[in-house]
Amino acid sequence: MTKLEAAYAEYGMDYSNTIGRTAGDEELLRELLDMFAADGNYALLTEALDNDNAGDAFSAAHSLKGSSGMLGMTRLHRVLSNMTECLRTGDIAGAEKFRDAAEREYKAAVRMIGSL
Amino acid sequence: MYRTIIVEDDLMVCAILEKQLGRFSQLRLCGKFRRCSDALAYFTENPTGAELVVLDYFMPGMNGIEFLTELRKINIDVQVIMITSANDYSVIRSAMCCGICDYVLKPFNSARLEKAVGRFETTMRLIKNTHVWTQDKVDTLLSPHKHYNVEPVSEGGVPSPGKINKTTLENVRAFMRLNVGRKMPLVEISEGLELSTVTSRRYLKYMNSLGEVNITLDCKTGGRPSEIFEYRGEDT
Repeated sequence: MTKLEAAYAEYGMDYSNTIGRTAGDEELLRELLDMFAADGNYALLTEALDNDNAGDAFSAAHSLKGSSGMLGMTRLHRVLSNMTECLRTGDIAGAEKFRDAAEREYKAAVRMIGSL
Repeated sequence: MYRTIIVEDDLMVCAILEKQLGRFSQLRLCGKFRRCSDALAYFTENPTGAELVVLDYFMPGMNGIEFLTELRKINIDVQVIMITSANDYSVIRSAMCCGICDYVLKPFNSARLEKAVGRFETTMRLIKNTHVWTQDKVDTLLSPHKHYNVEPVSEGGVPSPGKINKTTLENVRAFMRLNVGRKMPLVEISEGLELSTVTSRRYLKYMNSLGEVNITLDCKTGGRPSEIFEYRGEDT
């Protein structure tokens, strides 16, 4: 088991499908994880939620949902999917219910990336 | 070779798509755009500039459906595989109205992308080779996924016998028998068989596991190495 695979397992993320997406290229996967950690969409999401801006929050959540899903961050992807569905209809209060879970899972993902 | 364009604003997803599409020797990436307006400008300048567009839906400015609508308005008859996390029916329905070839939800896996490429190839082959549109041909055009084997392969990339259709296998075998001793690239075989390269390769890999076909790599293509298939016979 590679270090990356072990880190995915430790954080409950989906290594198998993710490495399949990069056609077995771990170096590429590491680069993509670094890009995810440096991506500004999470900050945009929290800012938009703070400002009750459902449109911007939707854009940021949708983008994060896509990239987290592609990178095998299963739990974060699930939470963001729920949040995106609320924001699609402008339901900020509904989205707020998922905020703590989103923050927890996002931080876990970034921690995993930092551990590599 | 089918010229392929990616329209995707997310750099991470774009990198994954580029890597994935690189697995298919029949596709050649000829452009990447982060905005639909840039892709539209490309097609306005080059109406026949690609055979396949791999398209996201949610992008800044013009979205994927608006882009497709504009493409169809100017009669760009390119095949489109949408790869998106947009899972609401209104988007899927609009995409279907714009004549997409396939709709793949993120996060996709490699096997599903392979199906999409197989579907695209079947469609292209049909359009290229059909002069008289019979009901069968129309049915295939509307449901190309029903006309190739989409079952996953077993470990080691060799299809299990249960996933191999006997008639198709005999057709492939008959074609290879006619070309015994010839070293042929996959594209030549799939064109000769009028099967997609995905399906042709599946049967050739199966025949390879039986010792009937040799597979070697041609590294002198000037690009990606290409698999070369040679029929050896059934008794060797």
